[in-house]
Amino acid sequence: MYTDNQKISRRQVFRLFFFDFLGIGTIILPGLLAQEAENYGLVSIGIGGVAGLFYLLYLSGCCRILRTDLQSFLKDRGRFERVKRIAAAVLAFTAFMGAGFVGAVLADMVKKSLIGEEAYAVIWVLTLLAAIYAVCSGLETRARVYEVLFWFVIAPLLFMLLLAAKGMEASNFTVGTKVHAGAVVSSAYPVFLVFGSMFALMFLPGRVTSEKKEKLIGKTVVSVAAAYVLALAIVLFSYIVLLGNFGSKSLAQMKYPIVTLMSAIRIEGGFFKRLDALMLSVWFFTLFALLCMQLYYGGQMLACVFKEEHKKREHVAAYIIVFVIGLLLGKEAGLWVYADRFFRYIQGPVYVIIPGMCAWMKDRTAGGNRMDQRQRRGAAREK
Amino acid sequence: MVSLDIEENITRYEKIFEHCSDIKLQRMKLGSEGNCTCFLAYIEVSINNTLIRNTALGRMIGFLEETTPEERNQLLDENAMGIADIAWYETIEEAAQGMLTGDAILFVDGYGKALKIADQGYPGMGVSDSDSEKVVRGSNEAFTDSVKVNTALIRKRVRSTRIHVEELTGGIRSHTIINLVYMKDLVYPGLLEEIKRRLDVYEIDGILDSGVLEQLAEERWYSPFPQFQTTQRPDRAAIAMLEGRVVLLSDNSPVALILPADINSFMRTSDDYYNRFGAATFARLLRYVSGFFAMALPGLYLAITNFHTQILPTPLLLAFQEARQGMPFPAVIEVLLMEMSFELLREAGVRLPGTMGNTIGIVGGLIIGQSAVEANLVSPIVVIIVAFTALCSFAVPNEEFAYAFRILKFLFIFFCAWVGYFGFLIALMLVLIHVCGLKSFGIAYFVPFAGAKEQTGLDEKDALVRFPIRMLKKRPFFANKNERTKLIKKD
Repeated sequence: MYTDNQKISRRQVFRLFFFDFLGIGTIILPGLLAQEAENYGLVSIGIGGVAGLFYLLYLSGCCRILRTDLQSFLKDRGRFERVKRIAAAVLAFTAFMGAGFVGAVLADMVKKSLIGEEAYAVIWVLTLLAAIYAVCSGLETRARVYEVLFWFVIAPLLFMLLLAAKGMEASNFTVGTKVHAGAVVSSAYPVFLVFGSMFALMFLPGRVTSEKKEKLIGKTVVSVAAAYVLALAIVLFSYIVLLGNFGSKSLAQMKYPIVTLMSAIRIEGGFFKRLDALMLSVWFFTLFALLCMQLYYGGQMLACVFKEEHKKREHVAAYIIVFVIGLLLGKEAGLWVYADRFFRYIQGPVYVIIPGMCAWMKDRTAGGNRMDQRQRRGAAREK
Repeated sequence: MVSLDIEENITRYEKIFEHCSDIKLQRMKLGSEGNCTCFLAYIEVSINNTLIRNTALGRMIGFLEETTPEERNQLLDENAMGIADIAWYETIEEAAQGMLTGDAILFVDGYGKALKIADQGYPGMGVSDSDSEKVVRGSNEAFTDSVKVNTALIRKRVRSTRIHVEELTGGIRSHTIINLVYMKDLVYPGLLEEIKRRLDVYEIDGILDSGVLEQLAEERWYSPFPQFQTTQRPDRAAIAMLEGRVVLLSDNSPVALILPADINSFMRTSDDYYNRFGAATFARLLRYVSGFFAMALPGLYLAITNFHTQILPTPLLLAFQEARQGMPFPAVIEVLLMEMSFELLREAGVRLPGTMGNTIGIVGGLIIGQSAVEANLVSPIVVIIVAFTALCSFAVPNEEFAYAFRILKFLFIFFCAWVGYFGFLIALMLVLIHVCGLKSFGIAYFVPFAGAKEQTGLDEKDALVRFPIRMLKKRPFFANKNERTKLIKKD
C-alpha cells in the first residue's frame, strides 16, 4: 500500500552499493596493491577506478537494451533458452563462490581480531545463518538495514582515518624499489574486480522507486556512480593513510592492514584504550552486506536455472556449497591462491561478457537486429 | 418481528432471558384508564430508579400516560417526546441485543417496534489520570472503559466536522463495540479498507480488550515489537488523528490502538510537542539511547569483560577484577540472576496493590540487591549494570515497545556470553533485519530512518531531533498526499 514489495529507493541503492564497495575495497586492496605496486598503488587505484566507471556505463547501456532486469530476462524462456540457462548457472556459481570468499574473509578477520579462541567454523556458521536470514527477508529489508547503518559506518571510519592521518610519515612515501609500469597497470585489475559488485546494477531495472518507467535506469546509475566514487575516494584515502603509517613493505606483509591500523590509533583523552575491536563493526557490516548481495543474486540466478517449485531444495544445496567453500578457505590458507585466480580469470570476464551477451541476445530477439530495424524504418518513411 | 400483541412479545422476550436474574422485566399499565400496556426490560443497574422522572425513560413513560391510543403509534414513530438517544428495533432479537448495550427496551401494546431508550447505562470508571503515560506538561486525562466517552474525549480535542466515527462490532458473543475514529481527508486511501479487512479475518467469541483486537489484526504475531501503537491518552490519539492515522477504540478498554505505527511513534510522547524544541529533542535523544542500552548493555558488559578486556583502561579493568573476586558464578550467570530477579520484582510490583507495590521496589532494590552483594553472590558492578538497564527500559514511553527491549536483552546476553563482541554484532544484525522487515499496515517500521518511499527529508524533522514547531510544516508521509501541509505562516 505505501511501500512496494521488493522495490528500493535511490538513497537505498546508493547506500547498498557503497557498503558493497567499501568493505572489500578497504580490507583486501591495500595489502594486495602494496605487494604488486607499492607506492604506485595509488596510480593503480586511479586506473582501476576509471575502468570501473567505464564498466558502469557499459552495464547501464546493457540494461537499456534489455529493458528489464537480468533475472526477468534470463527467466524468460523462448529463443536462446539454453544459453540463458547456462549464463544463469555461471552467474549463480560465481556469485556463490564470491559469497564463500567474502564470508571466509569476514570470519577469518573476526577470528584473528576478535575471538581467537573460538572455532572458525562456529564464526562462519553464525555469519552465514544471519546472512541467509537477511536474504530471505528480501531486498527491501536489506536496503533498509543499510540505510540505517550508513552513518554509523562511515562517520567512525572517516574519523579514525583522519586521526590515523596524523601519524603519517613522509619517509614512508618515498619510492623504494623500482616498480614496472606493467605491474602498476596490472594492479589496476584487482581494483576493478573489487568493485565488480556493481554488476548488481543489472538486477535493478524496475526495482527502484521514483524511477520513471521510460527511463528505467537513468537516475539509479547516478546513485551507483555516486556510491562508487565515494567508496573509491575512501579506499584511496585509506591507502594513503596506510602507506603513510606503515610504508609499502610492511603493508605488503599484513593480511588486514586497516584493522592493524585501527588497533594502533589512540584517541587523546578517550575512554577506551584500543578501538580495533569496536571498529571491526565497520568491516563486519560492509562485508556482511556484500555476502548478502552475493547470496541474494546467486539465488535469483538459481531460480532462472531451475523450475520454481524446486526453489527451496536448490537454495539449501547452494547455501551448503557456500558454507563448504568458506570453510575450506578458512582452514586451508593455500586455497586463497586459487580463489584469487578464480576471481581474476573467471569472475572478472564473466561479469564483463555476460551483460554484453544478454544485450546481444535481446537485440536478436526483439525483431531482428537494430540495423535491420533502421532499414525497415527508412523504407517505411520513403513509402 | 416485534408483534403488535404485547403478550406475544413478552413471552418471547422472557424465553430469551430465562434464568437471568439480573435482567428485569416489568409490565406496566399506563394511562388514567390503564389502556396502555407496556413492557420494560433492562439490566438491573443500568436504570436510575431514583431519578426516573428526570430521565428520558421517565419522560417516555409520562408521555405514554398522556397520549391516546389513536395517536400513540404515530407519535412514537416521530419521536414526538424529543428523546435524543432513541432507537427502534423491528425484531425481538435485535431488541434483546440492544438492551445488552446498557439501555432500556420498551414494548408498547399495539406498536410494532421495540424502543431502545438510553439511561445511565452500565457502571464505569470516570475520566481519571493516566497511569502509565505520565507527562510533565499537558493534560493528564486518560481514556475510560466506555467507547462512547473515549470517542467524546477525542472530539473534545479536535472539533472538526471532518472527524468520522465508524462503529463496528467484534466478538460473536460479546458484541463489543469498536469505533474507528479518523479524519476523513487526512487518512491515506486504502488504509481504512485494510483495517476493516484485518478486523474481519478472524471470528472470535469475545473481545474484552483492545489487546485482543491487536493480536488478531497484526501481521507478525511472533515479533516482540508491537505493530500497533497503544495509548491511554486522548491527546495522543488526537495528535495521531491529525497526522492521518486511525484510532481504534474498543468498548471496555481504556487503551486505544493507533495505526499505522512506526518506531518513532513509540518513542514520542505528547509533551514532546508541548515543550520547546531543546527540551523535546534532548528527551527524545535520551529515549533512543536508553532504548539501545536497555537492550544491549548487559550483553556489551559481558562481551567486553569476558572477551575484549584490552579495550578497557587499566584502572577500570582492575576495578572490575577486584569487584568480581571471590564470585562463585561466571559473569553470565550473575547477569542472568540479577536480570531475572529484577524482572520478578517488576512483575510483583505491578501486581501488588498501591503502597505495597512501591514498597516491594524499595525492598527488592535496596535490601535484596545489597544482601546479594554482601553475600558475594553477585558483584556490585553487575547490580549497577542491571539497575541502569532497568532505568533505560523505563525511559521508553510505550510499555509494549519497552517489552521488546526487555525480551531481546536476553538474546544479546546469550550471544555476547558465547562469542563476545562478534555475538553482539550478530544479535544487532538479527534485530535490525527483523525490525527493518516489519511493516505496520504497509508502513515500514523504521520510517523515517529507512524505507520512506517519498523520502524528502521532511519526516526526519520529527525523528531523532524534534525541530522547532514552526518548522514542522508537513504531516508524516503516511498522511494523504494531498493533505501533507499542516502549518503555514500567515503574512
